[in-house]
Amino acid sequence: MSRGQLRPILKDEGSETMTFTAQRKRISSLAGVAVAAILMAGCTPVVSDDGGGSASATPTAGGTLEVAQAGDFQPGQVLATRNGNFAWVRSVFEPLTEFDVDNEPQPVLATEWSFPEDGMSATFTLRDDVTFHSGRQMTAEDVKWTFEKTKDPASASQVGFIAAKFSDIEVTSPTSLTVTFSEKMAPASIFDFLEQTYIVDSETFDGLADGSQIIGTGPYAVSDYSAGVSLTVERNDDWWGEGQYLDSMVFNRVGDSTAQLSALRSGRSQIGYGLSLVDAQGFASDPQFEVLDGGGIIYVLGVDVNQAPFDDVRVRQAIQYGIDRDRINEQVFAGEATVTNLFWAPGAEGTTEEQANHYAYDPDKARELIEEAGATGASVPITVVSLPATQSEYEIIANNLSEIGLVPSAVPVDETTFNSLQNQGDLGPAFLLLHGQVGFGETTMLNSLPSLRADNPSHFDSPEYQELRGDFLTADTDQSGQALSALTDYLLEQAFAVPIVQAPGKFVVSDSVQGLQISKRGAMLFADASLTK
Amino acid sequence: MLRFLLKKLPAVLIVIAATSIIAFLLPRLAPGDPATALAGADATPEQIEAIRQATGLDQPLVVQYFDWIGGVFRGDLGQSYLFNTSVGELILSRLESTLELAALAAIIMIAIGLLLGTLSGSPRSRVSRSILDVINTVMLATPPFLTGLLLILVFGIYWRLLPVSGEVGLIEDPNAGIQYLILPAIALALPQAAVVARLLQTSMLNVRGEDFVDLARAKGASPRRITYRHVLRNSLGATVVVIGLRIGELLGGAIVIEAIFARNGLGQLAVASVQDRDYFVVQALILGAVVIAVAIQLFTEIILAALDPRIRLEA
Repeated sequence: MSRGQLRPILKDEGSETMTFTAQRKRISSLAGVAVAAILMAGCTPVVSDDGGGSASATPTAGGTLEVAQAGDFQPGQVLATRNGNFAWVRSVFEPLTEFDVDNEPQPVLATEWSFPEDGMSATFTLRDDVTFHSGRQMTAEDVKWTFEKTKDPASASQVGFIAAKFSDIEVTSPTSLTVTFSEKMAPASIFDFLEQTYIVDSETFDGLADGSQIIGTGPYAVSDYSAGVSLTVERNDDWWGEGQYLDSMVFNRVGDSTAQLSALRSGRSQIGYGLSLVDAQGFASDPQFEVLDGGGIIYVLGVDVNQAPFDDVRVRQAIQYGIDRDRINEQVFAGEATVTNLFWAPGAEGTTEEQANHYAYDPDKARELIEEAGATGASVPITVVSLPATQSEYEIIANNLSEIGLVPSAVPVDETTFNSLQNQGDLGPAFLLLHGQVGFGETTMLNSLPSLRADNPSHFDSPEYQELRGDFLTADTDQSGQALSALTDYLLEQAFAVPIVQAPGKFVVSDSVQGLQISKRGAMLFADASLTK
Repeated sequence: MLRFLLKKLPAVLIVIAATSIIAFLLPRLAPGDPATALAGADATPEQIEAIRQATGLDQPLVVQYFDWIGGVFRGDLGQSYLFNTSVGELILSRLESTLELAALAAIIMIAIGLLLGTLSGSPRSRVSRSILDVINTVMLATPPFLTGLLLILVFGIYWRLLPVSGEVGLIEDPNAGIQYLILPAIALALPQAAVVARLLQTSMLNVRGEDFVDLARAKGASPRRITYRHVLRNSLGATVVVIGLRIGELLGGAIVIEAIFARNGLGQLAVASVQDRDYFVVQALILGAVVIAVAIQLFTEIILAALDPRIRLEA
């Protein structure tokens, strides 16, 4: 044994390094081979490097279209408006009528309808060639059963309050029925109800709850459903209509916005629904994609009129004057939203531009009103749901309110907590609301929007409010504009809940998809959709 | 071995019993309940109450707890409020995805960690050592979501070599399944591999200074034999413990990786269940996570004893 062999380890490194050179090469080679083996050995690539679809104008029959959607499927809630159902539900289920882009009701399962002048009933004639995916023929009894189902609070239908006014539904033949109302109803409300209410199969309705039987009458039938993961539909050859170019469609739940971007950019999905407006905007300049609008969300700043300082109407008005809505639109919604102080659709009959921009940004006036009310320095906790858009919205609003002499602070809560607090009427002094009911008519909104309905989270009520609501809800067609205008003036003056913007839902569509339509309410219509090659 | 396991049993049972109570109470501490989530944002109080009654959420908490725990003993984990399906079936349907991801990530973590650790812990030139240190530090400092996004950008969008969105089960289609798994598994494994490598490197450098290594060298053992037979083997004890702990981390990190690669594993199920207050799913996942952690701990102790004869499980 020589002394050299007993040298400290560190001094022995050089010789060992030389000895290990060959071994290191071998290890490197083995690692390389291993990686290559994993990547290459026997693997048929599942992605193609074709760079996306080409813009051919010829619809081609066949193919499978994939949709990436942010919301979760809720087949058990098809009678309610659910974000996770917007993409697929209209392919599988159908309503009696549907509004077109000009806001005119168009026939779907109903062929004709009539409303007597007294406004106390409606008669519908149905198609006689409609069958459910189970093979059973759809009749007026199914329509009656569905209408009655929406009265059940457990259906969570936003238009269930309309069905609650159906005093009688008489089936006069397999293809016709007459609905009698307990009070006078405007046709616009009925058409809102019809569009929202998909006709379901009474025999398999219970199967909707767990998705084991999702039976509708639409152009595509559900062939596979994996809760929270994906829903696959295939062409329904017994459908009454024409079109149906696609063999099948797969709707994948991709909750993360970045993951949706990857799904679209990598070519996995041809349609993305539920991206943030900023992310969707990134596709607007890409020739391989088109960005379509449909439905949307009304963003509202509400206050509790029973809590100081908002028990003073001047403070309520001041905060609305103090909000820079244009800045919110530009920075939070990429300039894609509509800045408005109204809940109604832009240009609703009877409303004016002045009303829509009543609370134009005016920090000086806001400061004056705050000082007049003696509320300078008042603290304003704002309950904010933890969603990217509302959190960004809050940052700007907080900055605006600080400038006019208030002391805002955020009370962040998750979505379920927010909904719970909203339903308990316990959102605190101020709150940022979201209402996904863009596309509904004014009468429906007045009854179903939490901000406006009787048990609103602002706890606002007054005889004058009730009178104005009543005037509008019962107004004849030629007077409804005037009634809506008066009601709108009152809502703006009281300022207990005022919209900030109305932001459209965005659908990012690859140029390989043709014929896709989006309904006014934001549902995707695939009957004429096809994939080009 | 059996005596060792029996001695551990009381502690394990206490941990699981305490976990069941915590798992039951924790989701209920947050405001709102599954009825609120099911009814949606614009629901009326009447609609929420109707759903609450239909789902049994109006029962007293004690009744709900004993109903649940009784079901667990019978193998029934309850019914998901959100999906209206058996929690056991729901978890099983997502289990394959997470297990495949965690298993491949664990293999990559062990392979890269041991390779990098052994190379770094072996005598080599200053330049080589610096390069290995830089690689290790970069891997350690880059969080999985960033690695994931870079991999998506390079291999999924720019070159389109591998799928970066969705999944196919390995059992269903091994060819496609492995391609869907490679990138998320690498993204998940790299930071953990760096930890394993760093620990192994430090351990090997310490062991190399031990007398028995000098003795082996004096007896004429080759450098290769010294490294692999003496230094590496005696350095692996602590590494095995860390690998056991890191597998738990892999499961935790899978939540983020599943989200950005659009995989529907247990991580995504857990996030959705917490958001929507799907109590039974959350309870089952918490209980399951604790049982797995306990099992991994026991398994690690057994491996340690196998590696080092001085450790006896009965001791």
